This record gives sequence, C-alpha cells and structure tokens, in this order.
Amino acid sequence: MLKTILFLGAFTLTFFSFSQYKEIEEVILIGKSVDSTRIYRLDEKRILAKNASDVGDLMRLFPGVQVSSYGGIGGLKTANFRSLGAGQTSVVFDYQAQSTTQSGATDLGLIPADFISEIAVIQQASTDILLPIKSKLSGTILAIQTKHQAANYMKNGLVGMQTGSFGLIEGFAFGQKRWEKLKISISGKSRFYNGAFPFTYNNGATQVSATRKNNQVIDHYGMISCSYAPAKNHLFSLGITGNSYDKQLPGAIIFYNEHAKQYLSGNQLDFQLRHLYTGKMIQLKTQLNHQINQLTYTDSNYLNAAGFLKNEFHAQQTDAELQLKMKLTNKTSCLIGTSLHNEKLVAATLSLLPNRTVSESMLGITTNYFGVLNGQVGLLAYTDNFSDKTATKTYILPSVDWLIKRKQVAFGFAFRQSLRLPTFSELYYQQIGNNQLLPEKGSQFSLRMLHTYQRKRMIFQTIIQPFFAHVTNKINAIPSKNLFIWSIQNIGKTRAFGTEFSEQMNSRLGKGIIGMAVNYTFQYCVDITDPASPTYNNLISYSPLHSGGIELNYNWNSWRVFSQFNYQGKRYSLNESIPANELAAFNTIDIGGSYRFEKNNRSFNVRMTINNLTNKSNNYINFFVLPGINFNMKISYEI
Amino acid sequence: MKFSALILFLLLIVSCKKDTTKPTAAIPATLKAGLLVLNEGMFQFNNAKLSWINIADQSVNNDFFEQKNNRSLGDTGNDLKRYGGKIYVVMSTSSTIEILNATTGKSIKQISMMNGSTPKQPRSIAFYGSTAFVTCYDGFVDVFDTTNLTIAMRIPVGQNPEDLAVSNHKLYVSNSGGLNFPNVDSTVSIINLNTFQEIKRITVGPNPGAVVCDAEGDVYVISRGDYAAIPAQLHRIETFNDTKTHDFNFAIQSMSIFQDKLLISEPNSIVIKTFNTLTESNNLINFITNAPVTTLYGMHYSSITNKVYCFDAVNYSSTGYVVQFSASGNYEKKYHVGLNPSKLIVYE
Repeated sequence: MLKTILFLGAFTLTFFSFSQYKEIEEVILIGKSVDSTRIYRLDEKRILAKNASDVGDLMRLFPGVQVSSYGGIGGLKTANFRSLGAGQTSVVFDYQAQSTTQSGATDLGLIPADFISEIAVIQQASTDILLPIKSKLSGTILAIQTKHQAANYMKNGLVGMQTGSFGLIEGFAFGQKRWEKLKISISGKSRFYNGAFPFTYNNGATQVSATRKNNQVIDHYGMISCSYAPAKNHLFSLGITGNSYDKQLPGAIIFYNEHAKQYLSGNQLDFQLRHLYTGKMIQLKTQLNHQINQLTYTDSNYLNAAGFLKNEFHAQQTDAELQLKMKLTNKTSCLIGTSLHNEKLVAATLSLLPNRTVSESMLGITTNYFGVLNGQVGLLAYTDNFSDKTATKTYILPSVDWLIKRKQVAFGFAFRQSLRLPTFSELYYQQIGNNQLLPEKGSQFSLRMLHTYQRKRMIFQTIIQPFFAHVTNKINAIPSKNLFIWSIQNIGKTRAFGTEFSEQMNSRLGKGIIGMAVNYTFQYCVDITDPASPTYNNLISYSPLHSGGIELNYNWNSWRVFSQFNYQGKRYSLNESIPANELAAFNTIDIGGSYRFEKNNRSFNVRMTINNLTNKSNNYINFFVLPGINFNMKISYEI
Repeated sequence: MKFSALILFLLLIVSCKKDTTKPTAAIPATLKAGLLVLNEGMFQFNNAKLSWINIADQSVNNDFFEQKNNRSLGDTGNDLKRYGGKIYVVMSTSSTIEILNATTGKSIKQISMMNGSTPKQPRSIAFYGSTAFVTCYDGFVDVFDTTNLTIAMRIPVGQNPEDLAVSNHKLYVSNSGGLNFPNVDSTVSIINLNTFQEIKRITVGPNPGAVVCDAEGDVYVISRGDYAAIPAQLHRIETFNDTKTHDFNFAIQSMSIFQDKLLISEPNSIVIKTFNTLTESNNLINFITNAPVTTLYGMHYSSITNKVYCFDAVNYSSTGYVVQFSASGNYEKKYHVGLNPSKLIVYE
C-alpha cells in the first residue's frame, strides 16, 4: 500500500510539473451552482475522456458506488450505492426506469457509453417531473441522459469506431435532424469482443497464468427518438430503444477445470411515449412505457438426461404515469403523481407464471425559503398474482432533503426510506423460490457538505457526505437442505456508515488547464442479522472499507493527456471476515491522450489509452478475472 | 487539500494494520494422532480445504493441503477416504481426484476427471481389492487401479450417480438424477465386481443419495424425495438376491454407520437417533438430543477413537465445526474448522 501511495504521489508531481505556472485566463468551473438534487454527476467531457465501453465502466468514478463487475466487457455490471444493494438503485435511461423484472438489478454493461451526455447520482428529486415516480421512491437514482434527450446537444451527427486489445471492435453512429417543431434522432452501436485475454491468479502459493476462454461478446444497440412540439406549451416525445446480445459466459475461474460452456443471449425492446405540458403555473406529464425482454441461457456441459440446459425467460413491463407539478409561490412548488406498472415473466424454470401490479403515488414539495427543502411521501402498493390467490402489500415511504448555501459553502442533510421488491426469481424459482418473501427495507441518512474555493487561477470543489444506511429484511439465498438445495429467505440485516469524499480541481497551468478529480469512500458495512452468528458485525461480502480513485488531466489547445488511478481496498468474498475469504486490495492505472481537431463546427477526435498500465492482476468479484495491460484506440467525427 | 492529505494519511494507517489471527496447529511431517477433515467449501469459490486437528493439544490448521502442496485443493470437495497408504479426495466442481500420501499428506497425483471438454463431476469413491470406483455425475462409474492411478474403464449406470458402497462382491450405486429435477432418477445400479458390468437396476425411491453397508452386508439407501411433498426415506436392499426388502417410515436426512447401528439425523433437526441394523425396528432411539450444533451437516463414527463426530455447517457460508461426542452420546468438545465440513479421517 505504501508503494502505491508513493507511486501516486510521484505520478501527481509529474503532472503538476508539466509546465510553468501562469495566471489563469479563464475560469473552468465545475459546479458553478449547487445542484440540490444531483449529488454527483459526470458530464460529457469527462465521459469522453474515459476509456469506457459501457456505463458500468463509468460508475466507478462516483464516490459511494461499488460496481460489481463480473469479468469486464460483456460481464454483468451492477452498481450498489452505500451498500444498500444493487436492487435499491433505480437506473433511469432517458427518463424511463429500466425494468428489473427478472433479476432485480439493471445490467449496466449493456448500456453503451458513446451516446451519453450526462450521468448523475440523484438522491432526492421530489418535484423533478421528468423522473419516474418508481425511481423517486427507490434508494438511489442513477439517471442517464443520452444525446437524444439533451437539449444542449446541437450537433447533427457523430460517427466513430473503437478498437482495442483482445479483439475489441466497436462501431457507432448518431444523427439528429431538427426542424422548428420536430426533432428526430437515431443512434446505433455494434460491438465485437473476442475476450481471450491473458491473466494470472494465485492458487495457494502457486501463481497460475492462463488465457480466458469462452469470453466472446457480440452485441448491437439502437435507439430512435422523436420530439414534436405542436404548440409552445406542449411537447410530445417518442423513443424506441433496442438491444440484442450473444455472450459466452466464462464464469468464475474454477481451479483445474476451465471448461465453461455457458452462453447467454438476449433481446430487449423499450417503447416510450411522453407528453409534457408546461404552463405558467403548472406542468403536467403523461408517460407510457412498455419493455420487452427475452433471455436465453444455455449450458452445453450440463449433465442432465438431455445433455444440455436451456432456460428461456420472457419478461414484459408496462408502465403508465401521470405527474402534475404546481407552482404554489415563487419559492415553493409541489408535485403529485401516480403510476401503475404491470410486470410479467414467463419461464419454464419458475413454479408458475408470475404477474405483479405495482401502484405508486407520491406527494412532493420543494421550497426555497431557507435553503432548498425537498420532501416527499410515497405510497407503494403491489399485488403479486399467484396461480390461485393474490397478495397485496402497502408501504409508506417518506424522505426529505435539505440544502443551504452560503457563499462558497453549502450544508445539508437527507433522510430516505426505500424498498426493494423481491424479484420473480426469488419468489418463484424452482425449488428455491419463496413466495412469502417481503421487500427489503432500506433507510439512509446522510449529511452533505460542499465547499467551493475559487481564486483567479484555480477552482477547487470539495464534497464530503457522511452517511448511515440500514437494511432490514435483506433477501439472501442460503443452502437449506444441503449445498445444492438453496432457499431464499428474508434473513438479513445490515448496517453501514461511512463517508464519501470528492475533490475536483481545475487550474490554468502553462498554456493549458490541469484538472484533477479525487473520489474516496470509506464505508463500514456489517452484518447485524444474528448476534449468535459468526458473521455478526463482520463486513458484508464485497464491501471494502476503502475505495476510490484519482483522475488527472491536462488540456492544451487540442491535446489532452489523462490518467486514472483506481483503488479497491481489502474485502471479503463471504460475510465472514477471515483470512480465508480475504481478497487483496488492488489498484489500476490507466493513461491516455487525445487530440481534437475542430473546424467549421466539425470535429475530429482520436483517443488512445493504455489500461492497467502496471499489469496488475485484479478482480472485483472473486475469480471473475479482469485483463492485465491492454490498449484502446477510439476515433470519432462529429458534425 | 487538507482533506486529501487526511485521506491519504488514513489510507496509510489502515494499510499498515496487522491482521490478528489465532495461531494454528503446526502440521507434522508424519501424520499421526489427529483428525483430517474435508471442508467442502462453496460452489465457484475454490475454497475446499483440508483441516488438520491435533488431538493432543486440540489445535487446528485449516490450510493443511495448501501448506503441504503449495496449491489449493480446488472447488467443492465431496468425498474423502483413506485406503491403504493413500488418501483420496474427490473434488466435484474442479472435477479432479487428489491422491495424497497418507503418511505425509503430500500429493501423489491429481487425476483430471474430464471427458473431453466436459467435466465428469466426480461425487464419491469406494474401493474393492486394488480397484477404486468413482461415481461421476455424467452417468458413469469410473474405475482405476490404486497402484497406477489411471482411469481404466467407465461403467455406465443411471442418471447423476451420487454415492456407492461395496457389499457381497457387488457395487451398489445410487442414481439420483438430481440434475433432471423434477424428473429425478429412482434407482440403484448393481455392478458385478468380477465382470465390472451393471447386472441389475432396482427402484428404491425418488432421488437416491447416501448408500451404506452394515456389518451383515445389507445395503441401506436414502431416497431424498423432492425436499417438499415427497419426504426422504430409508430403504434396505438384500444383497443376497438384490431386492429392496424394506421401506422404513421414519423421518431421515442423513445416516452413518455406528457399530451395529446407523446414526440417523432428521430433516431440519439437530437430534441424532440410532437405528438398530440387527433388529431393524422402526422405533429409533434418541442418541444425541442437545448437541451444540447449529446446522447438522453429517456424522462420522470412528472405531479408532470410539467417538462420534458431528459436522456443523452453521449457516453454510461461514466456517463450521467438528463436534465430538463420546460413544454414549455425551458432548465432549468442538473444533473450529473450514467451510462446510463433511468428511473425516482419524489418525492413530
């Protein structure tokens, strides 16, 4: 660890000594005004500088977020905020909450990074009419906005490609056409990845080198959207998004047995229709969504009578939503809204055909009298239709967030209660499903302190957010009869406290601008289920005490050089914090450079990166190995 | 910037923190007066382990295999037996059989149990003469000589064979069909050990699992049902004419040979009863009723120590215990071992 810090220090000094210091000529602002809803955000510039193939790669830039990456490109990636569990995070893609009907968490590895204009972590958005009610009642919102919806993106088109180590080839294109009342946008991406990367792992005291097998990914993504404003106050939006993928699943490294022959293929189609009326005193949003997911899992090494396993899942989710926002005074507005969802899943592996209806209503208020106060009360009722009976449960979910800003300092607090409904797999999967499960309940309390320090030549922004989080009724799968017969139970309780730290700095340096972003999370998340259990007060699995990263970049005319340092502290693969379960801390360093040529509102970008420069063996999830040193090159042309 | 310095300082402090782990048993060069325990570990965690328990000072070392061989045992240990001068460890998910020198604990050979690129998933091992038999989940019993340790032949049996026992010059193999759930197998394959061919397949009950042979040569099989409406049941096979002669109607989860009895555990219970294999009465006798065990995961009786050992899996995802009882069922002591202990060998 000491070596890491020394290396980091030297690395930082290298960047600071890039050229002689001069007076800053322009101020590069990050967060000129304090946003009361978006606690962290990544804008398009930062996203462009990252070697990110998908949104999952970008999430590790946020404090407080733990990304579970099951093997890099193509692998499942989920985001867990403040140890609440991935199911408590609602992923909103262009104002549409992503379906989690089957697994309970959105796979961020399926969302391409190339068309993203902003990603934000939102904790409280009581009167933000565009965000779905379902998401506003979740633990955390991860809001992704693409160029399709970004009002300030005025380019007409983008085309590009990326190539990299281990057979990575990507091609993507985006185009939009604007008329007086109409805008049509279209985007698409295809990706091929061979995935045969070399890796090493420790088998006891023996280091083993091997090459990843059965790791190929082919996926395609497309989106078309249309916005029509027939009158000044009315805006209609239509969006259709689809993706299709075929993945080989190498799974975890199994000692002495590298013969996984599992495959996953899927297709997803999302439709969205929205109308927004904006008047002087009111805003009214009506939205309809429909999502279809088809998933096929096969295992040609499965030792049943057929000689293979093939499981198919067909999921559908339909949402209807109405939200009305009213301006009560110049400083106060309120929002009332209601939504109705229906989710279905058809799969032979389930004991029945699940069908769930969820009704959510909320009353939210935002007032600016003394700081910014956001408060809301949500009412969530859901009905699971079993084969011969129904069960309805109702919950009230309050939350409040307050933030006050005085000059360069802001202070606030937030309290939030949320639910994670049991997934259909947890309820009904053959043998192990438990239809008596209750939702997981999450509570979180956080403080928020921001400080902006601005001088002529530089600007610093510091965010510190201590937090406390508590989850009850945690849904865990445990072996019941033996190690092969599992059962899913509401048995868990966890308690977490910690703090997130974020520091951003921009400064004029020589003829260019140097930028730095530091994020660090300390979290102590322990199991408090049963005082008699050996795991009581032990860290929950994959919850490091320390994690974080440092981004450095230097922009000079059209050139940009950048580096990214990531650190994952020691953690445990199971809830018992003993050496046998320990995963060593690791860090990775990525470096790169880009050149941007602009003329006549057209730009040409080329970016090269070297990832995992020091060729460190690393994995977020035990035995789901990630590549060593690798290279990427991306070229894009924007008009 | 002060904040950054503070964070770096904290990182430095924490990185210098030492782990406080309890001292563990020294592993002797020559194994004696101890217990060798197989901890199954968990699927896809590569954390199956052998524990060495020093009986004299009750110290435990849970990294026996790693320290002896500088590598890990692998993923999901399913069986452990000593035969002659060797120890055989059956690794199911790793699809290997580790063969150790019984005196030193050092690896003699690792047999890869692959059929082309398909893992055979070995489950249990039994011996007859100089031959070892291994049930493989791909529907075969693999046969190898205990001298040259090379697979010589494969005997086809039923679906997903689980356990096996030798009696009356025949091998009795339970065909679970567990990977075809709910359409499981219900049979026991009987293999003639002179011809190495299946001579009969008899129906016992759905999802057959554990198989043992008593002192009289009778074979007992547990059919595990569907873990719901169809309960587990004990069946007796008469090896003279290879017919199922009894279906016993008491609740059962697992069994182990104990003198001229069977130790019987019930589903979701930590009570252990005895079944008399001579009288074969349906009335079981309470043997251990207040065991300090959270999750009873198996039992083992050693005639060497004249003790009964119970395996406590706790919650299946944290390390477990070997709990020692006298032959009269009185609790004596417990040893903290690895994850999901399930098998044991006693060293004099």
